[in-house]
Order: sequence, then structure tokens, then C-alpha cells
Amino acid sequence: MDFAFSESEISFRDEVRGFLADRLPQDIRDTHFGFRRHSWEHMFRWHKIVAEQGWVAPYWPVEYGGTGWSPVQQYIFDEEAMLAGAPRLRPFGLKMLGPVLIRYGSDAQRAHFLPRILNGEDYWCQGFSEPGAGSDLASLKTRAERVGDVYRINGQKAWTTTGQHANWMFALVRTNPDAARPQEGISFVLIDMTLPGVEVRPIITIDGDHHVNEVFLNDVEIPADMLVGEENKGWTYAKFLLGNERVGIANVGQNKAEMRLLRAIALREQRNGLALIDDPVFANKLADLETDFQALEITNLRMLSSITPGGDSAALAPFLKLRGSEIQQRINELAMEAVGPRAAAWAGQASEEAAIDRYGTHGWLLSRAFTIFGGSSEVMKNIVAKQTLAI
Amino acid sequence: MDFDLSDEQRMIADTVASVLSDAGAEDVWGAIVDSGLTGMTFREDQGGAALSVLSIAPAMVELGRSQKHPPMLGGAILPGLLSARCALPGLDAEKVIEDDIRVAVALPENLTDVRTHGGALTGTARQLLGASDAHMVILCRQEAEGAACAVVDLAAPGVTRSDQILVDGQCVADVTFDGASVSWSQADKDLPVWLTDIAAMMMCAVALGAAQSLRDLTRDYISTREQFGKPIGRFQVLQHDMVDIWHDTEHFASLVFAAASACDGTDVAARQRAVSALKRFCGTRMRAAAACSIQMHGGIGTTEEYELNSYVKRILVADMLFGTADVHAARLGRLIAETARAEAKTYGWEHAG
Repeated sequence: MDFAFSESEISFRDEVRGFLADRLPQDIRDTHFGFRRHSWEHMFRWHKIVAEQGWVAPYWPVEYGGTGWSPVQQYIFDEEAMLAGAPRLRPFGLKMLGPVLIRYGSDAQRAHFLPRILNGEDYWCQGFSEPGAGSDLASLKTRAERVGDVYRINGQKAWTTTGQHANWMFALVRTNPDAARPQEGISFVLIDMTLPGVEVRPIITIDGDHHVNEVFLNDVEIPADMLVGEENKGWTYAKFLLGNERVGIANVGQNKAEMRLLRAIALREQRNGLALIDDPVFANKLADLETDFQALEITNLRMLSSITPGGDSAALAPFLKLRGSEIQQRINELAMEAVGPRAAAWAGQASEEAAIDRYGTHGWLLSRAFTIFGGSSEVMKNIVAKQTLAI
Repeated sequence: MDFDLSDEQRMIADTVASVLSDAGAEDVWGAIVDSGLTGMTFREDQGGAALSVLSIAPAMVELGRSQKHPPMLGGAILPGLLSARCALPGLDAEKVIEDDIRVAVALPENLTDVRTHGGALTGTARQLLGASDAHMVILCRQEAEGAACAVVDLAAPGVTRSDQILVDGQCVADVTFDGASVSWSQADKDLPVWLTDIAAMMMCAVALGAAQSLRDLTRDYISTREQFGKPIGRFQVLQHDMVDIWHDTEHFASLVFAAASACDGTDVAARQRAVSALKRFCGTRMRAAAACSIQMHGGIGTTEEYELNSYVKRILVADMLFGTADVHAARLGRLIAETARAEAKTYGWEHAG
């Protein structure tokens, strides 16, 4: 047992810090340190910079443009990037679709799509959930019928994050409505969002922003070679993909960076003539949050250091997702409580004061989704009970 | 970064586990002495093994799984750590290791009622672990500018002992001084806090073993106990409670070993952060997990006969001694505020606060 990072991990951390100091744009950095949230444009610009460095897809094998980093190195990069004020790289192409194509896609799909994910030429969204298929994803109804050389797709996808920016969607569709079990009639397909019949409508979420969309698919015809793997095997690929997604959702690095913002807010706010951070009631809440965060951070490292590069970490994922998402919500909750009545101010203005006022409330509302997407907490607990506890 | 047990950790833990399972309740301390476990934390030149806190922690987890209460912490680990770091005239380490004399340690939280007037002690040192059959007590007190230690013979005039049993079944003693003479020697200022942190961490390691046993018992119980025609573990509401206990126990394990490692380090603030988070977690989440495990068992969980109660009580006592959850939350809060002030300078938030 050894809790220290190895010498090679320490020098790797230095290398990452050097890269961030040189290449992370000042305005993006200032956004974080000014208590504001990154925009899609910030993320996209940063994606291209990281891609130029060759570091944008550390979870991919080296031959496809990955880095060969260990899980601990990936964690170090993420932590350093978040602490430097970088935006989170969007997972849809990099973390979700990429590994699926590498494991289950055709040579042609890999050759065409993987480089375009890396360089940002394509931006992907996820077409899994539907109005009637959330936690019970296997009940999805969007239908794909094989007609000659194409699949004709009809249906509706929901909660499509950043779908308004995407030019491609990977989706689960029903190809066999008569299968014995609902999971057995589902296929995994790639849909060009510019095709006729694709319509994206915004959903404004309770934080007042446009993150997610409804996507209507009316007689959309995709070439048959846009099927990934085998027809009716899509559920297997989706489970593989969701396992990868959940590991990322632990968000230890981002939580660490947001806890630092919370400390700064609590130091700046006054309560009864004291800095709020010295107020015993508030300090107690911070201590409880710090306690759970330390436990998450170490448990995450325990898990990461026990898996080998490219290994299947799906069984570990629910552990991290459950507590990680809860901690993220609590950080925002305390940031909201810290500013008191000013947290009620809705319209954000450009000043730093206003950004702080809005930070927690906006985050509290935004983060409600964190215990819902990627497997709701209740579903995650069902999975753990079934797999880990064998009850 | 390696979270597997080292060969050394495994060997010590296995030794303790086999002593605890093989020896009868009356002989367990003798078996510990015979296995060389009393010298773990003394220096090598004292005849000890100079083991790190992290090396010993898994052995204390084994202790928590057992139904026995040898005074490993109070009678061996703490005296060894203290005498390895502080000159203690009147204490022969080799005799302690050989069990020719038995000692206990009194830390500041035990000494709140004890005063020294002109070289004479008055007041009662309370709840000293391992003191019920000890010959000597080492007092370790905090002073304004430092710390001081003194060895007191329990057979000396003006010293009386009163044995007690804690709720989890371990023996402790209160020691009352009525003018006993004492000679203090100066020690490093951090010594009492360091030793208290290690004691707190070791109690939590014991609680971790208890929590693991409690978790396994509860899982087995809900898998076999049938009501409404099926195992109660088929009910989702119990499954989710079980998952929470499972996760809390894993997170608790992470904190126990991280705190053990921090106790071996030189960064005082990092050690205090790790130990206070651990103790806070023990008193909030693990105590709740213990209560939940009783609830999931139903009536049988409330009986003294069923072994669950012994694990629950170990968790309760681990929370109570060496700083309650609230004491540690307050310390953690102060450390967080220090971090915030340092960060405000680093990141140009200085105009704030």
C-alpha cells in the first residue's frame, strides 16, 4: 500500500501543468476563476488545442490516436485541467462513441469517423432517451426499417444534450419489434443530422439555459453501412458505452475545482461580521462536504489504480457516479446558500459580483440533472444490488 | 499509488487474525506478547520493530472483526509510539515489550480534570485504554508553548485505579491522583495531537473491521430471511439501504488507510485533514449505517445475543473517543478556512473576505 504518486506520475503531472500554462487561453481560464460557467465555444476551442497536442482521447488505444496513458494518468490530466480552469471536454464522441467504434465498428467506420472525432470536424450527440424511455431505456420505440440499401427511421429522441451543435448522432433504434425481449430488437446506428427529416427543437431547462433538445426523426434514410456491429445487438454496445460514461461522471477533478470556488465564495461573504467560512454553522457544512469529497477522491484512485489500460471498468462505475453526482449537487447548494438573498437574483450581469450571486443558484438547478442522466441514482442502486451484492 | 496490502501489512494482519481466532479470551494478551506484537511501534534500539502506522492499520481492522478486546492500542501501540519519540525516564521499553510491566497512555482528552501543583498531581484521568491491568501510566499533556510527558507508577502513594467497561466491552480504567509526585519532561509540541490523531485513526480501523462484518451479516440476513413469501432482500427499499451501507463501508476504508498514511507523513495539516474527515465520516455516515443494519434485521437486530450488536457498539465507541464527530468537524472547518485564505492569495481573490 502506497498513497504517493510515483515519480513518473509526478513528472507527468509537471508535463501536464506545463502544457496548461502554455496553451490554455486566458479568457477561458478567467471564465472559471471569475465564477462563470464555460460556454460551448470555450469547450470547442479547447478541444482543438488539446487535439493538436495529441491528448484529446486518452481512453483510446494508441493506434487510433489515443495516448497510452494509464487510468491514473488520465485522472491526473483531468484534475490538472480542471484546476487550471479548463472546460470539460464533451464526452459524446471521445468517451462514448469512440470506444464503441473501436471495439464493435467496421474498419470503414473507424477510418472515417475516428479522425474526425479527434480533430473536432464532427461533433456528436447521443440519441438514446425518448419521451417514453428514460430509466427503462429498453422500451424505446424509434423504429428503423431496412428498405433496400437504407434504414428508414421514424421516432423521437429526447434530452439530446448539445444536439443543437451536433452534425452527427449515434442512436439506439428498434429494428425488430417482435423480439422475445425488448433488449434483443435494438440496433446502434449513426445518423447524419443534416439529412432531410431530422428536426431539432430546444428544451429550456430549469437553469434557464439551452443544453438539451428534442430530436424528431421523420422518414430519415441512412445508408445501411451506418449500422454499428450487428443488427439487433445494439443493447450490448449501449451497455458498454454507458459503463464508460459513468466512470467520467464521478468528476473528481471538476468537483475539486468547484470546491475551491465555493471556499472563495465563503471567504468573501460576511455573516454577523465574520467571514462566512469562519461561521460555525456554515463551516460544519463545508466540513461534511470535504469529508465526503475526500472519501470519493481516494475511492476513485483506488479503483483507477486497480484497473489496467483499456480494461473494462463498468462494474466500478456506479460507485463513483452515485456519490460524485451527489457531491456536485451539494457544492452548488452551499454556493447558493452562501450568498443568501442575493442568490434569488436571476438575470446574470457581467460583473464578478453578479457572477458569484448567480453561480450557486444556477448550479443547483443545473445539477438536478446529474443524478438523473447516465443512469438515475435509483437505477444505479438497482444495478449495484444485482451485480455487486448478488441479492 | 498502490492500494493492495503489502506483504508486511498482510503478515501482521494475518498474525493478529490467527491470534484472535485461536487464543481463548483469557489468553489472548499472552498470545499477542508471544507473537511479538507488543513491540510493533517501539524503536529498533528499544527492541521494537519501528513499524509505520500504515503497516499496523490492517491488523486493527482484523481486531474489529473479532469479539475480543486485547488492549492493542492502549497497551502496546500508543506506549510504543510515545516512548519512541519522547525520552521517558523510569520506563524500560524492553520490559513493556516482554510484558514484564504493562503501561497505558493518558492523552490530553483524558487529562482535562488533572492538575499539577508543585510537582504533585491531583484529579482523575478518565477512560484510559489498557489501564485496567497496567503498572504504569504515561501522561502526555499539551502546554502553551509545547508539550510534556511523565511516567507515573500506579502503585505509588496517592494513586488509585477504578476499572470500567465500555459499551463495546473493552476494559478501561479511571486513575485518580491525590498528591502523587510527578516529574514532567518536555516534548515536541505536536506530540499530543499527533498521538491523539493516531489513536483516533486506529479506533476507526477497528470500526472498519466491525463495519465490514456488519455489512456482510446484513447482506446474508436479507438474502435468507423470508417475509411475504420471499427473501426480504428482494424488496427494493432494502436493496437501496444495503447499497448505501456497502458504499459507505468502501468509502470509510478509503479514509482509514489514507489517514494511516497521513499519520506517517510530515505534513501536519494534511494529517489533521485526513484524520478529521475520517472521524467525521465514522460518526455521521458509519453510525447511521450501523443503525440502518439493525433496522434491516428487524427484531433480531435489537438483541444482545445476536453478534450484530458487538459491531454496532465498536462503531459507537470509535466515534466517541479521541474527538467526537463534532470536534473533528470544527477542526476540519478551521483547516478549510486556512486553505481558502491561502488560495485567495494564490488566485488573486485577496480583495475578497
